[in-house]
Amino acid sequence: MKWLALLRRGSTVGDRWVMVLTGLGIVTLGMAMSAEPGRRAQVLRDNRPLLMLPLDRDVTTQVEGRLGPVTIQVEKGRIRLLEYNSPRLIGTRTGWIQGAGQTTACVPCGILVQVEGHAKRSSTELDAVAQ
Amino acid sequence: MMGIHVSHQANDLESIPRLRKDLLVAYLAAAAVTTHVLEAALPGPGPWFKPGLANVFTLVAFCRFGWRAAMAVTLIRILVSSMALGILFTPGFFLSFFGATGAVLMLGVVRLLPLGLGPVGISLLAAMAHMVAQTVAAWLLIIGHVGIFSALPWFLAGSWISGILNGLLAFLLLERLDQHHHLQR
Repeated sequence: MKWLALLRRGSTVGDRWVMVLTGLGIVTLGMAMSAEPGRRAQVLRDNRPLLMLPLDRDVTTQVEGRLGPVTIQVEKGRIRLLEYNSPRLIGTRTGWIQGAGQTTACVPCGILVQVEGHAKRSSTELDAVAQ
Repeated sequence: MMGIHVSHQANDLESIPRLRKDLLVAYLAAAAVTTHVLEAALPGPGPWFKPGLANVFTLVAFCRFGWRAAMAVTLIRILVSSMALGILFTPGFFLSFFGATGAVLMLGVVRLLPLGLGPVGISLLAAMAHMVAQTVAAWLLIIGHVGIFSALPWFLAGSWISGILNGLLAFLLLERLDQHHHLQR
């Protein structure tokens, strides 16, 4: 309640509009990009394909990232990466992913794992933006 | 501490000369560097979520002295803290640099728009610009795969929370600064 009182005291009407509109924007973007479970996942290093792993077969393998080895684990239709030398271990802490189009990455290692398939609606839009 | 070493007695506060703007900006930059380095040493609360408390001082510089001061605090923070952490010109440095550039550019846009924003709204927009710029930098410089954008809603949700928290902290700090005669504009 203290935080709410502080928020009321410390924000202008404009601030509250920005909070509501950006919050709605993020939720909308999240819903548009949510995905069905994927069947296989691609592992890339520096945007070059290294491996293609089916998600219906449990397997643990290792690839070489820029900062050392990165373990890729597939289990029960999900996939995750485990890096060891990255400063913030974001890929490891992201955990399992399984939805089509979802990614997990160790940016400093240059390793990205993407579940194949398309998100519900927005993959074409994303590709267009990226090009 | 040149401007405030004259006396510690409350009665003499009125006689203390006002702290020069450039000195206060330097203090804010020093505080930002310290906070950045300390935060890097602590475990984060979750993936893709970093409180980014050092941005509180950039916000204070922006609200009090304008865009150039905010840019100065940001540049000093990025360069000095990267040297202190030993990550200068590594991928982490460039991600940090591009994120901060995105945030500072957003501050430049915000000052031109008559939106009536306070520290919270400004902080929120800057935090989101920071995250978008950082994701684009990760895509362009390191990962090279558009799949990185599929995680953008999660990144933005984290920056939405941190933006509001930092905005509130900046508001409190600005309030405190206003209570001190020698720190007033």
